[in-house]
Amino acid sequence: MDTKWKKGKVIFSFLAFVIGLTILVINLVPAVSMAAAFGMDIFHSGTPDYQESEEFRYLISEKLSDLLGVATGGQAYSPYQNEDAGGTAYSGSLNQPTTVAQEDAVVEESADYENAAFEDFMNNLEGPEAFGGNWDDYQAYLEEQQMHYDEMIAEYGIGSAYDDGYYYGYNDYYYGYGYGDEESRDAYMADMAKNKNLRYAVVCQNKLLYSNIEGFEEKAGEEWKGEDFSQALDGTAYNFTLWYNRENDGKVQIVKDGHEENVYGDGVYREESRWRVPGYANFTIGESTKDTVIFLAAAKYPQLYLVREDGSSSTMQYGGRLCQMRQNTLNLYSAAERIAIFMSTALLLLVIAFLMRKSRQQVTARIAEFLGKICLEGKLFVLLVMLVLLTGMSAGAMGQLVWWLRNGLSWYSWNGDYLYEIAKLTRTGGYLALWFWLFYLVVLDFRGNRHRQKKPLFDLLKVKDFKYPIQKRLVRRQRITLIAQIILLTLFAVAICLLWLFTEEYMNYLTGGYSYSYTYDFYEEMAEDLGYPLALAGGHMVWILMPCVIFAALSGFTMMTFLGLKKNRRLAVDIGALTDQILAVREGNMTERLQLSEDTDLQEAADNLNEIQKGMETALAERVKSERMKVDLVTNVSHDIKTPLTSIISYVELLRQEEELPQYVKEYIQILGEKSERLRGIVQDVFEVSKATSGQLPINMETLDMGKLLRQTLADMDGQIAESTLIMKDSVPQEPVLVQADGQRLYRVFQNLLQNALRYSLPGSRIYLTLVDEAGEAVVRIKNTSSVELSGDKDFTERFVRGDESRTDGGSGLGLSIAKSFTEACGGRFSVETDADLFTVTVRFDRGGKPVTEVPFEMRQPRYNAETGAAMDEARAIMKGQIKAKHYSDAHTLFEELDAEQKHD
Amino acid sequence: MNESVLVVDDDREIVRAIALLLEKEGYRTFKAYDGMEALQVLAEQEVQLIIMDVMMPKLDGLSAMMKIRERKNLPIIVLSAKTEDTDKILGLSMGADDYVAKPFNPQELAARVKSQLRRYTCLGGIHAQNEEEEIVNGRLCYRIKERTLYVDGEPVRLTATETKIMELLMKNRGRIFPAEEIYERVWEEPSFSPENTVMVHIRHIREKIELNPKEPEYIKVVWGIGYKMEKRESNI
Repeated sequence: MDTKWKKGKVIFSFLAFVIGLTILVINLVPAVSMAAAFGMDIFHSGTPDYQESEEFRYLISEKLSDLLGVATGGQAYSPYQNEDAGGTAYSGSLNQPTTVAQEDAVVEESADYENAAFEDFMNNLEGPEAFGGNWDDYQAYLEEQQMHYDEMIAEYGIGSAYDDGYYYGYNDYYYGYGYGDEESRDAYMADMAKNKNLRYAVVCQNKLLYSNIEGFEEKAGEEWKGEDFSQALDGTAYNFTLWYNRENDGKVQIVKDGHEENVYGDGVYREESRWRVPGYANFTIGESTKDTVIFLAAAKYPQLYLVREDGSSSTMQYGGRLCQMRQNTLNLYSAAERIAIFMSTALLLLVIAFLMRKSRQQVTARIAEFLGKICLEGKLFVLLVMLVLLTGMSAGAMGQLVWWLRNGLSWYSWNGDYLYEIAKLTRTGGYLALWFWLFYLVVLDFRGNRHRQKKPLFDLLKVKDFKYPIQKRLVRRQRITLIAQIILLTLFAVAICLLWLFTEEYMNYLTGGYSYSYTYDFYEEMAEDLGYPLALAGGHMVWILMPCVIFAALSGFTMMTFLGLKKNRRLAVDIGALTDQILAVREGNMTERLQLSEDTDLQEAADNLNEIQKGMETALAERVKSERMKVDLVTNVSHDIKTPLTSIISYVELLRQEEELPQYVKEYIQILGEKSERLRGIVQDVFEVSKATSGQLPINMETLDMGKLLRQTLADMDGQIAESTLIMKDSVPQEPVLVQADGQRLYRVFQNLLQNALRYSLPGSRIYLTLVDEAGEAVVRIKNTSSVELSGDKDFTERFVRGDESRTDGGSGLGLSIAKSFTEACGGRFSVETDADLFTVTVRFDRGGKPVTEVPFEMRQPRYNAETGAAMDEARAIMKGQIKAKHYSDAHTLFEELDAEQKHD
Repeated sequence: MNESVLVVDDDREIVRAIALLLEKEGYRTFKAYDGMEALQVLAEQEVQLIIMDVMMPKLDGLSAMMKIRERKNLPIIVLSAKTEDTDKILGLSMGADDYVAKPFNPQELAARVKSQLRRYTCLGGIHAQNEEEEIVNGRLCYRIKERTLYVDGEPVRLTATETKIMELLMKNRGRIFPAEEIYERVWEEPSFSPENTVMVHIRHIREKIELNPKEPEYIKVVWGIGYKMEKRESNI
């Protein structure tokens, strides 16, 4: 129950956050835009009031100028609206109506790309002059053109043919054909009279010229006695009234809902002034309007007036503009209300989300965790696709946003289709929201998984883990190609997108040259955006297909390179394993076989290597076996020699103790003693050297000072050196020369070498003993001059090889052999050189190890090696009774018997 | 005198020779030619020391030794033709008091017999007492107040320097001393290449305390590092 509530709370907080933020972002653009465009004007009276709109003011000033033109005997189309048309403000002069109409039409129809056709159509229309005053011909011509026009509209699907705005322009043209001003004026005023939403009265020189106010319609041409036209109207139905020059002051007086409006402000006309009417200090009017009085009144709730005229194919529509204005205002108002509700809901949700941010963070953590499980390449790919898609979809909307930001916060509101505008802006907001959430996910992923992204593809490009240069080269070679191809592919994809997206239309969009069609609703617009690339390419399908084919081909190549790289990588791994294995075999690992992945390219090499290894293992095992047998033989032989030797030595000793023997017998005994002692030494040496050469000599490696060892050896052999005729010249540095070795064995090495030197040197000559450091090696050299001639081709380290072949000198002939095998068993290198009679022995050890003084003395105790350890274990086992020694039980029985006998006695 | 020694070896000539040598030194001897015989002799006779070969028929030396050790605490010297460290360790750890490798020096064997018997008969029950008064290490005993070294219970004449070296080493049994340190602590002056000086004194000491000075058991050279007094079980 509790956990369920907790789970619900977590989900709710996150949903509140997502929905709130989405709604906020979507509505933010239209909200800001609307606020900027209208301010709070539309809500000013609490209810939607179309008369507060800019368009309404525009229309009123337009009408005023029309009526001023009419009153002063000019043409009835507001000339000052179109400076380009050559009209001067309130000049009252006649302008070329065709020109005006054409300009107007061009401006109004420029929304669509078909506008060029309309433009051409309008530009090619013949003026009345071409018909030489033949009215009937001209009318027939116009009717024909009208048909063409309708066809065009049908063809291009513009459903706005009878829109007030367009029709108006066409109608302008229609009634602008007359030669005389009067005719033109009458036609215009006749149309205007039918629009009961707008009541008017035109007075010139105290004569009422035109009016559509009940009671004054019939009085046209009569004298105006200063009646208040508004009295004839229902004040609540027509809540807006405008007087021009009522007080003969050339100014405009506006009363709305009984309140007079401040029209002129500080009396200077500016761009942003609300009313564009004459009467400002810098907005003057011609003299001829001095006697003109104009009255205008607008209905509070305008209605549509339709007239089906006889002799015409169409139904005319009047007063639509005000109706539409009101409808737009109502729409705007409700849209604003809706947005306000959305925004407040969003804010409420966000406040809730903020209050429950602890719970929400659980969800974001889970999302980040989930994103962390996806490999980086996949995410980047999805992101790229999303970016391309979103860019494509939202380029138009974003372009509008850019335009909107660049051109100030106003709308194309002249046609007042606010719903369309809001829809567009809402769509922009939707794209913004999509962009926002995409960005949000990216940030979430970056923050949560920055240091633990899974990236198998990028890992494939890495070479850091490889040990051998060949592996790195193998991967690097293909890596460059793959990276280049991926970059090329990406660039190409981006280029295609750019090609499709940033076509001329889109550029127009971005630069603000884009204008809107009225009828496309939200969805159609979206479809249109997505369809642009195809539509633009039109018949040139090749422009679509070719990039696609190239892209597919490039993708194929890239995939091939990728697979190749993957294979090469596996090859590199195998090569690494192979190299490792070769190294292992070299190092002497004969047991582990190389196992490569199945169907590897290196199978043969691996098999062969395994065969070699197997062969070597067998050979090695045989060698070890034979060595072992040799050692066993030597051990047994030496044991078999030792037993009789013990007797010999013992009896020699007994003989020596006999005092009554003749002197010569005592000499014999002396010789027997010496020779038996020598025999003992030889047996011992043979035993040791055979163990050392077969690698069975126990070695206790420790850090020791070579210099000290040499000095100790010299001190130990002090007596022997002093007894000899030779002179010892030693050069051993005082500072420690540390090496890793077995001290006991190394002592035997130098003992043997020095004994050799003492034994075989030329009497009276010098023995040189040096210890030097050569390139990180501790090098000991013993040089002596041989007493007998040395032959250079002898290997003195072979067993039983001596400089003197006679073998009568008391040595075993194993000295150098022991020295060599012991040196090598300790990890050193041993060499012998002869130069004439100069005999040089060199012993080399790698320098290294901790200084002796820093090693606690406990650690310098000789450690039991594996062999002695095993012996100890065996001894313990026997003592604990776990293993029975040979004949143990027999002895036990004997003891029992003895005990019994003793008791018996 | 007249201590009895049991000599056990399957080689009759060796038994005879050893027996002869020991009789010349004034010991009574018994002979046995395998482990069983040795046990039989032990059951019948009063014996103070056993010299026993390892490799024998019927009952080998080590098994016999274990059997003997079940009841008797007399010194046993093991003889073996095997000279490897492992054999020595095995023998000593199974209850041997000493280990002599074949072929041995008869005089050394006699010395060892004498040493073992002295300690068995004279000092048998004596264990290490106060560390402050005397330091016991195997056959050696150094009495600090007397500044005298006893070997097998007999005082040994040492020079003043030798005494100082022994005191240092006996007090720090098992610790390795570089020659420099020995020199500086004994002579109490800075050393320069003291290896020879120290070695000469150590050689002299060895001649006085070791049974076989060529194969010292107490003062050992730790090659390339220094010198140390081997730590011995004091009751053996």
